[in-house]
Amino acid sequence: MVVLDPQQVELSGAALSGVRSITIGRTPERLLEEWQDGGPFCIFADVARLRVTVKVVRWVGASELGAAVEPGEVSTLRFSVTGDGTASQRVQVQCVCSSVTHEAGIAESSGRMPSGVVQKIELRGVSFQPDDDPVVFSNTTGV
Amino acid sequence: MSVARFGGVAQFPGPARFVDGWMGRGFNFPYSTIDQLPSFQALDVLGRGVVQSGRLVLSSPILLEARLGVIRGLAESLTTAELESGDGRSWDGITMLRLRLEPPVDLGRVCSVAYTIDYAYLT
Repeated sequence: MVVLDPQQVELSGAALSGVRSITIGRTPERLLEEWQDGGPFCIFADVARLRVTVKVVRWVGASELGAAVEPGEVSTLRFSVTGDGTASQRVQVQCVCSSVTHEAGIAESSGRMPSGVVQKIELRGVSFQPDDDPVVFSNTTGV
Repeated sequence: MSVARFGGVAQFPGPARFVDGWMGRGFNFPYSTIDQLPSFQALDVLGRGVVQSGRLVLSSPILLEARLGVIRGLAESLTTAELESGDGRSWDGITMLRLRLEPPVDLGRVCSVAYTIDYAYLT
């Protein structure tokens, strides 16, 4: 899942400004594959453990003392995705912060990303119950 | 996916592989706790044995538990029957000796667990 220019981004209950993109990836932590006699091809595959990784990229144009979230901190990420109509979807992810890094930004000729610092926040989705998806979608009537 | 059968019944839903190996003398430990150990049986095993390994695949943990119960019963009662690999190989009059599970039980799209079953021709 890739969201460019997400709206109303909140992390740990506080508004998060300058967010350029949010990506949510799902990768197998335990991938099961089985073969059988008589041929080279896998005949069974399943994913028994999933890792949900959320990456938030934001531009920081002014000095910030302290981060919106610290590694190891439990937090809730909320943001809205605007559709082509008026309806939008609100997305909520229960997560734990795994890293916060910064890179010196380079100004784009379009001016969309002026010089500054790009902050990358990486989060891991966590569930209260093992069969609950940490990523929850809900429909809203507008941003 | 070809389905293995034992005693004419498809007992092992899921992929399975078979190794036709040789065994010497085998021992059967039908009990799971050490305090039951005095009642273990020593079995004479001659000739070849077969090792079946694979993954039992069921749609729910309850169904998997039920299937494991059936297979465990076959092993504990030393059931002798024809084993069919599902791809044309078969072993008639072979006895199921032991079911070994390889945890964890995995719950993804389906419920599954890896296993190994030992068979042998008993005297």
